[in-house]
Amino acid sequence: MKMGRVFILIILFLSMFMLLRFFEKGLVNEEALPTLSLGFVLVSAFLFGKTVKDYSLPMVTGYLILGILSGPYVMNLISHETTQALRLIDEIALSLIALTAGGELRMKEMRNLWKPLFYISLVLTGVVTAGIAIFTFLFLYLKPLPGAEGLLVNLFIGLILGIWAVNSSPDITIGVITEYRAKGKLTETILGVTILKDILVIALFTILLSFGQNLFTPERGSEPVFPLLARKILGSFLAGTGFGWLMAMYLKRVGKEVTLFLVGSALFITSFSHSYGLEPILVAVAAGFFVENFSEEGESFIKAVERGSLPIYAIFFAIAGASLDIEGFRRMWLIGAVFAALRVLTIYVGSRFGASLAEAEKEIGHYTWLGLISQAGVTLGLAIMVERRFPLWGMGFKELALAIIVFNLLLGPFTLQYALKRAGEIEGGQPSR
Amino acid sequence: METLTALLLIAIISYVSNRITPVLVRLPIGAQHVLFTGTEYLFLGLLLGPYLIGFLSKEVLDQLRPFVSLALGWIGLLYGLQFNWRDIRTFPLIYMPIAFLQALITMGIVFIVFYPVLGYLLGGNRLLYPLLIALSASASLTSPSAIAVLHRRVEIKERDLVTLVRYISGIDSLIGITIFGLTFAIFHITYGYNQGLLPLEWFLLTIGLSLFLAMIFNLCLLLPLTSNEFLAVTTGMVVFSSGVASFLYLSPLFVSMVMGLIIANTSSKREILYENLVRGERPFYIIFVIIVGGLWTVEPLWGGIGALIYTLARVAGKYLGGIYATAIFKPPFPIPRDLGLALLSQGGVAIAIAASLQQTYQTTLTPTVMTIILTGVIINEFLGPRYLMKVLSK
Repeated sequence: MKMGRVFILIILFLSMFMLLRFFEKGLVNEEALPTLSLGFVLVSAFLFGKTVKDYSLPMVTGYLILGILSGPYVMNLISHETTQALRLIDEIALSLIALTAGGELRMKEMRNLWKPLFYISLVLTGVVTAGIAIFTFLFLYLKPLPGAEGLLVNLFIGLILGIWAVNSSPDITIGVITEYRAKGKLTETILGVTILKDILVIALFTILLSFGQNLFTPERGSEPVFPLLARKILGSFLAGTGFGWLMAMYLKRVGKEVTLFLVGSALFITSFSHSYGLEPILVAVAAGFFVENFSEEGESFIKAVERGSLPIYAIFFAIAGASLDIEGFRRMWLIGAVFAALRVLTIYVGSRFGASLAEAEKEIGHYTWLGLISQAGVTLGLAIMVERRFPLWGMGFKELALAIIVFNLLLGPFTLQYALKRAGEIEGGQPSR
Repeated sequence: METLTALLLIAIISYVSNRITPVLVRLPIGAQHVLFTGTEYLFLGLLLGPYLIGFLSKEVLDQLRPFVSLALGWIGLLYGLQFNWRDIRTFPLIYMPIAFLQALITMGIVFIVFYPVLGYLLGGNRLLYPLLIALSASASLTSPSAIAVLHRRVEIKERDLVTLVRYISGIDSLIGITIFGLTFAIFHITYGYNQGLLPLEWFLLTIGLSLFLAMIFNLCLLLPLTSNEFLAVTTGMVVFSSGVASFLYLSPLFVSMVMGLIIANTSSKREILYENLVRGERPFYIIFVIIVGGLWTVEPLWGGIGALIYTLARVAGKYLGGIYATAIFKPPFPIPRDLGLALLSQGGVAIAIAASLQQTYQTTLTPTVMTIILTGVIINEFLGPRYLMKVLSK
């Protein structure tokens, strides 16, 4: 069967290659390119994901690698314009993934975990921010980013990069957890810490960006920081809770066409969040969390989301892979590797220290850090935000961030899967003795 | 943002329609049939579209075009999957030529009626033929939905005549889809383009492509798949095949139908695939019809007159088609003379043909032809069950 999959993959790649190369521009309907690419991505990402799974890698890694390979910087089977045209589907997928993440956070199971969650999130945030910020500051002193001059700017970039490095990918985390149907304390801890860190990063990032903007680019103007924070975090949670209540009501009273309803809800959450400046991920996580924990419909909700999850993950992660600027990565890969290694080291220290302060169980202390390495689209989104706010040196920042992301993107799913296996929380996993 | 909101609205409407459609059972049978088939969503799309409320703006509709290709592929594949030879063989063999001949006669009559007018208006333009064929191919189609609606109202005994009507309405679209699909190859939009292919080459490419895609799909279906994986592969292959066909300006409807036809006769997973497609059909189809409504530029005067002529020509075609087809290929039981009038329900494939035409052949007359087909579909959906009841009650 492995050969069968590889054979179909080769045929699909050859077909796409021939279609895009041998037919001249005037002979083809370029408006149909997004549809063509979407179909190609969906089938080939699934097949590639299954193939890498045979080599003990998560399917998510396969989707990402396939996206990179077929993206504009390697084979150019999925152009940059196509990835832009598919943004709508990408956004829907992210909302659905975040809904799943919220639904996977079960209060019953997390009741005994609040201490490790709190300590690990807080200590890790401190250690990673400090470690990366100090290293960046020293590094930029020797090799400043183009357009960034002066100690204050370098300190600011260091802090921004430090906070940015704390963020790990909720989408990859939930992708791997869903793929392996992982369940247990480590799973809950990793997911919980990922989301708590996400909230912390949003808050710190908002404060720091606002502060930096007032300091370095006052002419651009910025929204007052506290109302902004209140809207982004509190507003997102309130909106998410409201949506969660509506979804729970629907599941209870109607309970039919659940998949269609969930897609509609994901659309609505994304649309609403963008309109009111909320964080779509937080809104969706809060909605999923409410349905799972404050209604009787949690089980049917998760089942419905998981029923259609595979195509969503395949499309989402393959497009994420295709969107990566591999040219930028080529320029910065060595520095990126050093930063990525330092990030892993600080995550390890922060997580172990946090776990020991919380007197967490052995598995949580040993393996949580492995589940916090992945970074993906959301993290890249934060780097793009910096690029837009600080155009003088933002480009250099984004390239560095991208180089770090590529390593974490490929390493993260594998280490997470390894950790869950070692903790015996996935089917077929061997608990460590 | 606009796209998101538009999609949201469409998703909600799809849902609500799913819930309320079964409630509207007390309406006249024609109106009930229109609601049953979801044809009324054309009006909703029209209302939301750029010419009225403007909620579905031109930009939004452009971004939604992949959904149209996807829907065409979905409809085509679903239709093709019904052609399982083992199932077809259980019916008397003579039913097949009856079904096909009445469709061809209807096509011919509609073609002849519209040829002089369109020929005069388009002069020597070779795109005249795709327009004419879209009109005649869509007129030849019959949908089994009228029987389903009638079945809800009265008890229908499974007599030979009912079986024949059911059989014809299930199978005769093959002719329309095939001829319309091959039109894309023979009158390929890029004809005359430097280094373009010849019509015969496009024709061979269409056939080859359909076989090739069916082979890939079949290979995928050979893999051991969980239900979630099955959904991913099915959706992916439908999108991919529609995408390939649309990318080459070929007919996604035809390519997917051939793919479905081959899978129906070669794959052991045909039943599971069919069930999966049917499960997603209704909400998906409604979204498609709304988008088509949004893309519809109504030509009230000529489109309206044309639709009346189209309906009359279609009714005449079906009537004469029924008479001649059963006269040439005599079934072993008595057939009423007006058998053709039991075949007026037209269904979603005709809407798919109109959408397909609008996507590929954009001439000055395309909006008029689209108006004729879509209005014709609505009129025929009203007439269909009433005449069906009349014929069957004899």
